[in-house]
Parts: sequence; C-alpha cells; structure tokens
Amino acid sequence: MKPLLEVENLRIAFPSRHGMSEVVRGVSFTLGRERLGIVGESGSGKSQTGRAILGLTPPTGRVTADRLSFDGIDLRGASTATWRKLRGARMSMVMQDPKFSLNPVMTIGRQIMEAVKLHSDGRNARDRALAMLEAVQIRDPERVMAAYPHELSGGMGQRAMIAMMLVTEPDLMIADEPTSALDVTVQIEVLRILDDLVTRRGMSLIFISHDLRLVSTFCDRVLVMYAGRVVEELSASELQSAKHPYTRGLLNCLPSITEDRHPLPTLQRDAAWATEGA
Amino acid sequence: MSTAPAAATGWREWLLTEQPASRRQARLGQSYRTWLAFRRNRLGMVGLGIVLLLVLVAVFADVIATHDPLVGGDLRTERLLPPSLAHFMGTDDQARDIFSRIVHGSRITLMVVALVALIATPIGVLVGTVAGYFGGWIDTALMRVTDVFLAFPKLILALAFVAALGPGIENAIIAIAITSWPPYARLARAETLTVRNAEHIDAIRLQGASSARIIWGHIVPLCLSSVIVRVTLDMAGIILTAAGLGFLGLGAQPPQPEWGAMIASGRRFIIDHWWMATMPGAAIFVVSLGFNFLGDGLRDVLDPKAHR
Amino acid sequence: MALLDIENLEVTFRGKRTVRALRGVSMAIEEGESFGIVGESGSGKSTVLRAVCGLVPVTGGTIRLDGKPLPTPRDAAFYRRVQMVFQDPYASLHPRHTVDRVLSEPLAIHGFSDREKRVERALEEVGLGTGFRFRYPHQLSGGQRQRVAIARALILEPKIILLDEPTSALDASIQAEVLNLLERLRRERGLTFVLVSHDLAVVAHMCERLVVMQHGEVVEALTREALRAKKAEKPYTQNLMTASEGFVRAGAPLPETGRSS
Repeated sequence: MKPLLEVENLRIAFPSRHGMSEVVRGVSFTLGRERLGIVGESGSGKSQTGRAILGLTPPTGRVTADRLSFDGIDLRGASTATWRKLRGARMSMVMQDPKFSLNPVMTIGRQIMEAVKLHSDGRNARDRALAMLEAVQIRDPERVMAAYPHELSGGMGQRAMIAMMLVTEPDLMIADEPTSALDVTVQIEVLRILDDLVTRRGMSLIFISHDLRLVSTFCDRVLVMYAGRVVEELSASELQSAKHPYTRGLLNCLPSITEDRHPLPTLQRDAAWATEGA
Repeated sequence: MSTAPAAATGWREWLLTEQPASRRQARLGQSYRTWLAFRRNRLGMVGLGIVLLLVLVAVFADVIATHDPLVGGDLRTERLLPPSLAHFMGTDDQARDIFSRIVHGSRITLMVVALVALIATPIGVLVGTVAGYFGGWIDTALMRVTDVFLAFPKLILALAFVAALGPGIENAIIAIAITSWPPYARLARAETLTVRNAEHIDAIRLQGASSARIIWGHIVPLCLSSVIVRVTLDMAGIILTAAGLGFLGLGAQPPQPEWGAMIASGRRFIIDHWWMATMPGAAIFVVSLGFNFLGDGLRDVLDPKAHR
Repeated sequence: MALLDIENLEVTFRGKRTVRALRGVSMAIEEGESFGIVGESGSGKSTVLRAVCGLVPVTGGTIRLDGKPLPTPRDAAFYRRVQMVFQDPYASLHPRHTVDRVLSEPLAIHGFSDREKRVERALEEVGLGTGFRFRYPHQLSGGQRQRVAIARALILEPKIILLDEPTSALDASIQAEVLNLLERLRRERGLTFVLVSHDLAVVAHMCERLVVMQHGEVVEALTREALRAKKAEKPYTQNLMTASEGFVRAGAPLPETGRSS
C-alpha cells in the first residue's frame, strides 16, 4: 500500500552568523495509516520537521529534500494554490498552547465555522461546528461557541483547537506538543479524546513531543531525533529494548515515583551522535 | 585580563569571543555586535552618515566656510547673487554668503538638538520609571503632571518664555526641552509596567535591593532602547520646532545664522531669488531625514525582542 | 519546633475580581528536610512561596521563621536566610546583565568584601567554569541559566531555598543534571528545600515529605513512602497519582478523573 507521506533526506537550514546552519539534517521516513511519534529535546529539529511537511517553515529557512510527497503530491516548491487545497482540508496541525494558536479576537465558533467554510461548501457550518465540539466532549458547546479563547481553560482551549483542526476531516494530523502546556490530569483527558477521534476516523497522526514515554504509549512507531538527525526508529512496544545510547539515556534520566536512584543517571552526550547516519 | 592583539582579525575575535574574560570585554563585545547588526541596514547607515556629517561640519565650521557668515560683502554689487563657484549657495539680501551661514548655522542646530536631548531625556526617563515602578498615587500624581506639560503647545510656551525672559536661542531650547520630555515619560512608564513583574525584578528584590537600585540598575537599562529610538526620531521634529521659532523671530536673533530664521528672511525673496529660503530649507530637510533614518535603523537593532 | 511554620495562610488579591489564591494553608517545614508542594495550575502552590518571600501581601494567618513572625517588609537578615530559585530560566536573569553582575550584585547589597572569590567559587560549585562569568543570558542555554540562578540563590549563603518549579522549563536530560546538582548542594551545605512542582515524579524524587494542593487549599499531606505505596486518602491525590502514570490507550481501563473542565 502506498504510504501517505514520504520524506527522504529532508534538510532545513536557517541563516546564522556563520552562514547557513542546518537544523534538520537528512531526515527520512514514511507514514502510512498509523501513528508516528517524533521525539527529541529542544534543538533536535522535531518541530521544524513537522512544519516543513505543512510548508510552514519561516521564509528565511531553506527546505530541501530528495522526496517530500503527500499522497503522491510533490510538496517541494508546491504552489500557494496547492497548499491551500491541502492545508486544513487534508492535513492540519494542532499546536502547543491554545492561548497563542487560536485567534484571540474571534470567538471559537467563528473560527471553527471559518475552517468549515474554507474547505467545504459551508452548508450547516454551525451545526457541524457544534457537532465537533460535542465530539471533543465539551459539555456545553453553545457557550464555548460564543466564547473567546482567553475565556477558556487550557484544556478546553486545546479541545477547541482539536475540534477546529478535525472538523474538515483531514487525512493527516500533525500534533506539535499538544498537551505540554496542560495540567497532567487534563492531559490525559485531551489525549483520550485525540486517541478516540484518530481511531474512529482512521486518520494518520504525527505526534511531536519531548516526552518519550508519553509518545510511546500513544503511537505505533517512534522516531528519536537528536541534533537534526533521526538516531533511532523503533516500534512503540519495543521501547525498553532501544539500542541507541541517546534513547536509553532519555529513558533512564527521568525521575520516577517508584524508583529510588540518587543521583539520577544523566545523558553523556557523544559528539558522534550528531554526525552518524540515521 | 586579556591583552590587546595586534592584527585586525585579532580585534574581531577578541570582541566576538564566546568567553569574555572581563566586564569591559563583554560590554565592548556586545556593542560591537550591535554595531555589526546596525551596519547591515543601509538606510540607517545613510542616516548615521548625515548626522556625522552635521557634527563634522559644525566642528570644522571655521575651516569649511568660505566667507564670513555674519559680515556681508559690498551691498551694492553682492546682494542676492545666485549660486556660483564663488558663492556655492548664493548670497542673501545682506550680501552674506549663504553657504557659510548654513555651515555655521549647523552649530546652532547641533546645539539645540543635543541640549534638548540631554535635558528632556533624563527628566522623562526618571519620571516615567518612578511612576511606573511605584504605581498608586505616585503614578497618578506624576502622570497628571506629565499630562499638564504635554498639553502645552511648544510654540505658545516659547512665546510665554520670550515674553518673560526675552528672545534668544537659550530660552528657545529650554522651551522645547520642557515640552519634549512628556512622551519619553509615557514611554518609560509603559516599559516599566511591562518589566515590573518580571521574575528578574522579583529576584533582585529578594536580594534586598532598594527601590532606587532596582529602578536605576535594572529598569532604566531596559527602557533605554525604546527611549533612544524615540529621541532620535524626535530630533527631526525638534529641529523643525527650533526652525519654526526662529522663523517667528523667537529663537536665534539676527545676525545669527539659524536656519529657520534664514528661511524667514528669505521668504520675501522666494519668487525671484529662491536660493535664499530654499538652501536653509534643504539643509533642514536633509538633517531631519538623516535623524529619521538613524532612528529607524536603531529601532531595528535595539528592539529588545530581537535580542532573544 | 519547625524551622518554617505556616499557619492558616490566606492570600486574597483584590482587583477587578477578588481572587482567593490561598485559603487557610498550613504546613511546617523542619530544618534540613526537603519538603514538596504539588499541585496543578491555579492550586496556589507558587503563591505560598511568594507569600513567604514577601512578594505577595498576606491577608491572613502567620508565617514564622525559627518561631518568630516575619517582619513586613522583609529585612536584610531574612534575605540572608531565605532565597528563591524561579521557574523560567529565560525570565529570571536580567537580559542586560552579565553573569558576573548577577552574582556580585547581591554581595554588593549586603556588603561582602571578597566578591571576586565568592563569585568564582559560586560558578564552580554549580558546574560552570569561569569562562561563563562575563557572558550575557542570551549566550547561555536554559540549563546554564538555571545553574546561574541557583548560584545566585546560594551566594548569600542562606539556609532555606525555595524552589518554584526549577526544572519545568528544561529538557529531560538537563532536568536530571539540575536535580542532581540541587541534591548535591543540599547535602553539602545542609540546606532546607521547599520545592514546588506540578510533577509528582520530581517531588517524589527530591522530597521526603510533601503536601498536595488544589484551589488554594491543602488537600492532603503525604510522605514519600506513602506516595510510593500509593496510599493516598483523598480522591484528588489518587487522581493525580494515576494521571502521573501516563496515558493508557483505548481498550485498557481509563482513569476516572471526576473533574469537569
């Protein structure tokens, strides 16, 4: 079966004082109808990879790839018209903090309905928006439709964002740290909703996070990124038998309630990790 | 401590090092980086060039001027001559060389600009930061005082000063300075309100710092960027106000070659002898433009957000 | 007698809306121990620390240090005994001051004489070499900035360190290094820690005793052993413990959170 997304040798570079410096250096992977997690720390290039797939790299950045295609459509150098047909309708993105990713001067209802009208005939936009808000388990959708983003709690705002991104029923959803800004009890609720929706609609999902454990429980496959490269790729169930020292280091360095390790094992960074191939 | 290396590349490395070894090296390194960032802005460099030219012309006025600015030539043959090789910008109705008058007038312009900036800026920053930091009735009182001064139109106040103290460039400067500081106070207050609740201010409060130390050492440095940009952009307006006062006869008194006064006296001759009013007008235009470009360039470089 | 005794602390913010941030919070911190305060956003956990420092006004209850109520405003002697490490390493250092200035200013305020030596020693203790001394914060990584913040908190040689989510903004690997550093410093100097965090694992790792807060009140007090044995009485604490275990995919039994949000 043809993969939905094909990425080969993706490279993203930004201008710096010493010329162009690459933040993503040769990332390759394919994505079918599955959930892929991309894990890394800050500076690993995971967010930039997600943005490049949607063509959201800042204009000063340079994106090159041997292959970057979505459902057979070549994304490299795609025209604005092509992007408009793809973004929102076939692929969408949920970002970290609803305080910053939702338009603060538009009501939630208007934002969701705008998404509907842009990518479909716009009939029954209001009903579809309400239905979507109910699907993300917002108990009083009418109130939330009329509310502004700053009037909602973090968890509600994130659910509204998910509703907005899913109302057009895209094939691919990219979630960039969708729960990092939320309290831990709220995180579980939001993840449960996301899990449910993704399964029911048969969507593909790319879950970008710094939390290796969370990603491994949520996704089927995990890519571990370090310094712009993929250092390990494994299926989520095999996390404990990870081979690369960076992955093992990441797993071991987290404090846990049950274990008593003083001092915590720390990551001994090897310069070789930044240069070896994926 | 680091020693000063001989080669030019050595200087660059010393300034741009990631491990500065002294306070001086760190501060100079920061200034150098700011300069490198500023240099990339071409219009800003043009503005800087114009301002530097103004300074040089003012300093070396005696050398650059071709004739005496105050004493005219032969009133029968040398009045109102058009621009020529002998008189680059022509002569005025008193047979004085306009070019030399403009060159010497640059001193007056520079003096006005520098003194207004030096008087108005500290007052504005002090009032603004104190009001913003303490809040409450201090804030209200200071801001109402600021509003009072903001309400004064510069020219009317200058008229009042002149009526009280007599005409002259010094009184004009005081009048302009007194009406210039309120916007800086507002700006400094706005910046202070943003910064006041930052964690680094909490941290220094927790070390037991007094309010004076916090305002002077921690808040003022963060306000300075915006204020400097604003002052530079205001320079153009200040020059025009001084020119306006000169035009009304309230600023520099004849025979001082103040550019605004020159335009005023050239007004009557503008149809047949355009150079008398146009040359000083062009000088004002160029210098104002220079300050505007410089201010824009500084804003791009000093914007605190860009430092992140 | 407890070193730091908080009794029925109330903090109410009066403004456009009246916010009761703390409603009768009590806890007692013994000398030399590491005490944790866990809660989610809006629980008031950071407000407790800020009230102790005098950064927010106290509208009820008492805070006692060594049995004596704290003077308002706090005095120099207080700042020599109690210091705080803040959460956001990007906001807790002044952007225009070098590391050297950040560390030597408190020494200057309190009249220490051998500032050079103390600054260098402080930098070494937190694992930063003297090459960092004249850098500006934007030339440091998040972990390095937090080390500077820790050095700043320690430079006046206090006895009690208040830590407001000190590692929340750091990557996991850096968090491990900073937590290890904090533990080592506490051991070497015999410090008392009050650690606030939303992360139960961090608190369980660092603290022997802890309290759980919600909506400005203390819900439950626990020891580390009770936490490990999952012996919590209140349902909120149990929810928190379950949620901290992570996400469980559909098919497996889901936690009942009992909160509408």
